[in-house]
Amino acid sequence: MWAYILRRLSYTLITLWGLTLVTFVLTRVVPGDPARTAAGPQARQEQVEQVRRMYGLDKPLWVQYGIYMRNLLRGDFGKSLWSKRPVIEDLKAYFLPTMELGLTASLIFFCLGVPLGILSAVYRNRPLDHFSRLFALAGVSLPVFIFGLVLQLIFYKILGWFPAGGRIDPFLSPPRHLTGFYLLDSLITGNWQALASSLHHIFLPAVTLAYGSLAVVSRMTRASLLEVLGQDYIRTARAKGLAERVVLLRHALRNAMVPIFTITGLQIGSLLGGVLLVEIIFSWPGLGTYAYTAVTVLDVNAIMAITLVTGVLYTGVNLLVDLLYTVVDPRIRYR
Amino acid sequence: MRRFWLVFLGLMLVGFWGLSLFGQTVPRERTLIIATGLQPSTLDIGVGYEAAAINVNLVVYERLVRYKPGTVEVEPELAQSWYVSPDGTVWTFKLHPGVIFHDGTPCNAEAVKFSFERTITINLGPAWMLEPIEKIEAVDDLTVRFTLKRPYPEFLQVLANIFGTGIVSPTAVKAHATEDDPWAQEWLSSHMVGTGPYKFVEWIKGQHIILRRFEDYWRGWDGVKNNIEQVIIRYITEPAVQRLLLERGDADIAMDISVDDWELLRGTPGIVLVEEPSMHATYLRFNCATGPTADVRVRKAIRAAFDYKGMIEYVLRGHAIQMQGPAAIGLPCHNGELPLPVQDLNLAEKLLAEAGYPHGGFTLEYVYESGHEDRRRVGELLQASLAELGITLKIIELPWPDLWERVSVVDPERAPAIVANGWWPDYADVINFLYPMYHSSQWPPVAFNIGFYKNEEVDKLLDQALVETDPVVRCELLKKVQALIYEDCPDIDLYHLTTRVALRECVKGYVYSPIYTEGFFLYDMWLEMES
Repeated sequence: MWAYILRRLSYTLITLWGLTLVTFVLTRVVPGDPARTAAGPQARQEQVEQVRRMYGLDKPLWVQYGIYMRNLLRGDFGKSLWSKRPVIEDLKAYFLPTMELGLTASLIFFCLGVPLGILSAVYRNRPLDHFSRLFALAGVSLPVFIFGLVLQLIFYKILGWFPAGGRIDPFLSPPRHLTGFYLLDSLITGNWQALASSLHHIFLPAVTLAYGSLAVVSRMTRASLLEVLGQDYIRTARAKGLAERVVLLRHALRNAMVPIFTITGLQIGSLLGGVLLVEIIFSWPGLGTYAYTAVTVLDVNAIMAITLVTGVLYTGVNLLVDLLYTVVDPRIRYR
Repeated sequence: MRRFWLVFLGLMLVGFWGLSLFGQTVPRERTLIIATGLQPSTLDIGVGYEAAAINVNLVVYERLVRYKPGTVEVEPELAQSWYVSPDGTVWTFKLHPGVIFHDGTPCNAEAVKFSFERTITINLGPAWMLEPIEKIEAVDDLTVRFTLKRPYPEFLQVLANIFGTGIVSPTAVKAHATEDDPWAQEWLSSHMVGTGPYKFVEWIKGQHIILRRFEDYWRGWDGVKNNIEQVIIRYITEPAVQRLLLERGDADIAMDISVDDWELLRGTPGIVLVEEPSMHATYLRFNCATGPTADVRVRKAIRAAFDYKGMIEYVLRGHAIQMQGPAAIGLPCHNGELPLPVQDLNLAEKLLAEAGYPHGGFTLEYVYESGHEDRRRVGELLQASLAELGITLKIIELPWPDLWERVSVVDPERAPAIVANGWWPDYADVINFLYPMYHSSQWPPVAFNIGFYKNEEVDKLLDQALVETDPVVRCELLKKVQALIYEDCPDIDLYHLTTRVALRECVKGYVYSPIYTEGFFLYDMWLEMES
């Protein structure tokens, strides 16, 4: 098992190295002059040349790549051409909010999606199942930005229950920085007011982001569970006189979990795509807007860092899902 | 036991949700909340060069002189008075006594010298405007002297501009300087220490910047109407959300209301809409060096074919005014006698025939920057007009870096025939439009004469205006340049977009500034809210 994890990690490193190479080449061959955009729209040519020298963009490509990789191994992502700050500082500011939103949304869709799927499998073709089907259909077909705007209109404009956006009430100081997740930090430091405000602010964006995935996971759970419920060993278990709850949760669900985990992993990945829109609608100070700006102004160092971090996240989630298979299904063994 | 946990979890969830409803209980009178979609990339006064930084720069930092609210006239700010030598190369400024920075240190001649030297040495963004400065001396504690390499008639206008001229606390900079970063650029990119009426409190990136009233501000707080203790600038990317916040009173000022929402907000009780023509200019720049547009008659034909009325009414839905000549309306020395072009297809046909294209029969490329919806629609309008003359217009949308690579080329053959291009004044002087865009020394890649325009007479007059210290003579020269440019038609001068600011009625004292477009003179503003 450990040998497997080690092997997977080394593959991951190779993948990430490939990612740096591809991104590096791509950011350098696309049209446009990063130094010109960094120097500003009205900058004179000599200023542009100064910026080019400052960021080492005047050196041959392979030398630039060598320097980049050397710095990267020391944990230095370089300086952003746009903000003129170290990229790592900007990532800290923008990546953690995105992670917090993404994880909260994942928690919501998993913790609600699986039970909903179980219920609709158990009550197959009954009103609850029909409702859940309708709910799922709406979830996958409603574009994220429309759903977000509707929620905002109802819960902010009409009812006034939730704020329109942001991470925390601007009148409150954010909790002391420990993990960078406001929910966790305020919980750890016992800052209840900040916790309440953070929950208040994350609720609508997290629900918006989670809805589509919730629908997919609930449908997947239903289908997978129904398939298992038709198996002989379930009939045997029932014939033995086991309680229906035990049959369902111990015998059936456990065997149905492998495809559910697979789809959950994929959904967490796809959340990263939807998060940009949700962040814009709810003014969530996350990576989405930062990434968008980085691309439009050709901030090469920031683009590299964002791609790498996202790559690490994807491969991490994939590895985690693969390892979870062994937990739910002991027949799966990795060597 | 399991049921207990379920009940406990359920209660926790409901409890959190209920608690979260009380999350927003802090009172907000005496706080001004501004919603804007533009977040600055850096707060460094010596580096930043973008509209997004204007609102904070204007109130946290102060300059030697500033533009009087609502005008383009220069008035004293940190300087009480100034004196310029007869040859226009030595400027001496007398500072106000008793001015202190937000960190408590005094703002004196040394600090002024330090701030300017910082911007000039870093040599990024706004530094080009300070290029004529040869040396800066602190004559005594309150007197600072600038010696220039040449007469610089617009020097005062440059000093009043918002970028690179704010005075920053040397003590704060030195305290955060390192060996690799002697000007503390990293620290100042997310901190501000100036002398203005509001001091910087925090910047939570992507969320907000908070400013608080500086109690020791040198103008004092007695006898002013201002009751704003705190300012929160919230970064709200989505214009529709800005409108929601404004309507519910969670924002007092919204900077990016969409055209549709603007019409819907009209007449809403409690909301005041302010709309003023800006000096931001949009042009169609012709390639004057090669292709059919190298012929002035073709350029003039296209100018005559364009539908100006349709542009203002349909493309911009009335939120713009037509430009008059190549410099912004409202600037000193703008030539107000130039004609406003109107659509005249007969004239266009005649000019084309004279140029040897009686039935058109050629294709032109029109390039614009993605994200500028107005420029796309202008392209379509032009396409329709040119089709009547037998000219095909190919519309190409490019992101800014790509567009710049297309136009900033040494060889005019590689440049497109028509580029939609915007320009805004850094300071209130027409030369800020005329020199970089029309002097032949400014051809790409040096600067912004992206149409490869060259007229020796224009060059000569601009060179004279550059050093002419008599304001009347200089104005004459510059007006003549505008007339010559209009005659040569290196571009179609399209429109000035309006700046739209939506405010709640409780916000008083707001005056639109044509140069500090996104800024607020907060010291002169106040709130009338019921608590």
